[in-house]
Amino acid sequence: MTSGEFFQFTSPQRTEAGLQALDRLPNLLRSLGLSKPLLITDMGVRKAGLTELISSILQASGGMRFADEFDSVPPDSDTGTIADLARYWHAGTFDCLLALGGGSVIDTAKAGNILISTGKDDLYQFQGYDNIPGPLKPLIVIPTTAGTGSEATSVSVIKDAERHRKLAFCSPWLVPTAAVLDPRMTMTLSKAITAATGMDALAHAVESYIGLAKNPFSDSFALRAVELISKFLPVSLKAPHDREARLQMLTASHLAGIAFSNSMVSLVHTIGHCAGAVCGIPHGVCMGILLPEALRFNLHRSASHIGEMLLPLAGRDISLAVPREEHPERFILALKEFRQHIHELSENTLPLRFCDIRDSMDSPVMTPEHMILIAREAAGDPSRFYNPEDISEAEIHAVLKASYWGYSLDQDLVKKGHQK
Amino acid sequence: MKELMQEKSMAFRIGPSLFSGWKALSHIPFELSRRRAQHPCILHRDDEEGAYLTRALRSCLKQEGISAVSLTEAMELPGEHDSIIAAGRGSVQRRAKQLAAPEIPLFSVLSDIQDCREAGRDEGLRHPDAVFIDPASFQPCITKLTADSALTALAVCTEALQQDRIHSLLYSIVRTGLKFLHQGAPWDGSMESRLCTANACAAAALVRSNSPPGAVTSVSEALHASAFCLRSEASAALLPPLVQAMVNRQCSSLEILSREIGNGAAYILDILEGLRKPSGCDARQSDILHFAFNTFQTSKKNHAGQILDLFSTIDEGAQS
Ligand SMILES: [Fe+2]
Repeated sequence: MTSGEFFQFTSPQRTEAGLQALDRLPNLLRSLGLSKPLLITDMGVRKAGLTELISSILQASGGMRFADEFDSVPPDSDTGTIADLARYWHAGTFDCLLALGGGSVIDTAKAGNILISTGKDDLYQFQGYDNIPGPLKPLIVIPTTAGTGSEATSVSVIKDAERHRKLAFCSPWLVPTAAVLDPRMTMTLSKAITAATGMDALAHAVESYIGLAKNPFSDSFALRAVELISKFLPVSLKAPHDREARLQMLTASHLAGIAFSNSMVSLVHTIGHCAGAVCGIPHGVCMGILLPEALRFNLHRSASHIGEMLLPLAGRDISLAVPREEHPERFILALKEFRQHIHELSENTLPLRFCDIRDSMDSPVMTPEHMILIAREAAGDPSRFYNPEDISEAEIHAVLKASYWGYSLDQDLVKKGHQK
Repeated sequence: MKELMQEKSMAFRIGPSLFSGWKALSHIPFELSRRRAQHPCILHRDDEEGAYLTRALRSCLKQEGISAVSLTEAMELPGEHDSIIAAGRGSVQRRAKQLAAPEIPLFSVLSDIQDCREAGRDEGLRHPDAVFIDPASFQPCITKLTADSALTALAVCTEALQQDRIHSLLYSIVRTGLKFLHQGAPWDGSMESRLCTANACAAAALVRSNSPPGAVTSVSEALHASAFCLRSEASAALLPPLVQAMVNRQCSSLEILSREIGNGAAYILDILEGLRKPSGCDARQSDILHFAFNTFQTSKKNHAGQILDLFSTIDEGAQS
């Protein structure tokens, strides 16, 4: 960005972070004048004993408690769940939503809050950019994964149960009122989820830093997130109970969330959302697989920005040893090396290629027909407009194919250097 | 990895939306309507800066058919208003924060002359909902005042780095502020340079909202209030020993900065060096050191430890 160019930066939420941050939840609620939270969570979180922990923290502070609990959010939440949540709210007496969970729970709470606050029952009218009329009910978020950053973003993505596609909502009013980052919530995550969600956070930071809507504030958040992920995702996998590492990953995910909420995401997410919707592949896994080749597609357009991320990802020694003009290519290599390292630390639970993802019959989950469909859907997805380079359906297919087999994208297949 | 440790528990909030750059003011009508406000009251400084900002503001509101009452900060608010737009630095922003009811949108229109509190929460007061910085509304250049603001921002950002366990959220804002200041060189009064200063001051205000002021900021403000010197003169005199003290005790936040840009201490001193001339700070440096030392060496109230630390570094420097 050149000096003087217009930018906008927003990050309205409060953040409470720390090894015991949840102990401050009762005070946070009181300071916001709230006393009747509706807890929104899923069965996995409940089984892990996390709702109990929060319940006991509230209880210990003057007998506070959840007014009620809505714990039936599925892993891939849809419009039906949102409608159920809104009905649940209207049947009770609550003054805020308290979302405890990963991306699906948080996005459900955000989208549910649209119906709850507006009193409407049709979500479609609110989809897209800035179509929510005004402030929503207070929403407090306690993330139980370190990746989506949804506790800091103005975005909610959910599945349209009828039309089998993703519905996206983007509005400054969707940013939660407060986020509480406490590593006790992520310590029991499996290696597979730790690795995949970590790759999602990395994709947010990287895409924020190369996106067309980047600005000097989002840049600082993104670079810091890359550095923290580079240092602490491996530690979180080697020593899952390292509270400091878990807290740093929650922080990294939060920083990346703030960054991309301002600068938006692009090609990796454009393709990743469609691959997730068509083939049911976890979002973070798609991110890890797609990142290197989607960056290679943008290399000629965003070389300097891609190169600037080498230092936070690979460290000072490598950054100093490599000539500056080689930093962009070296970053993509460093990204692949990092991903390989995470793959090994996750005990091979983080797939590196789409062709390695198999169903119970050992057939590839993604077929050639799927790839054609994903490319078509992605070409119509508005998030591609934030990508540094224009991209056609055929080019999306090429990026997808390279990521499927794990080879480098043929540079002859992509455009070179015309001004967007 | 000591340097990446975090405080056991921290609370952080940025708060306002920031709109910066050419045409930033043209976003005000839309931001008002998003908040269902139609009748803003403009509160402005009763000086040339206030007049410049208000004129630009009125014209962009008028284009969207919005009329606004405008008052100076000393006047009483009219009954019929549903939002407040405070234009200008310092006291007018504080007054607006005191006057604005919690449910009423509060916007700040700022230039490159700030005391680095305007865009944030100020001693427990609310923060603005949105901050607008548009070079089109800057009054003709007063280089010395721009440099004064930039030096204040530099002191705030540098002092936040004193914490050994700086949180990544705070660090990211500090880093942004320092980057704007570095981009502001050569402080030639160009619009780009002035816009960098305005952005850096806004970042510094967000830093101040989330981290208590350090010794240099407090001393500078006290000397400024006592009319002994400008804030910038005090900051320029006190920052080098502060940075030296941070280097001496291998301040880990400075190391984080150094990992990114080579030598963190040199980076900060570089900015300071660039600002000395336009701010006209050199002449009275020894007087300021003397005055500050006499005034604060026995301070037992705030920052006593930091201040003594700072002056022992000055002392060692003087003896060597
Ligand atoms: Fe994502």
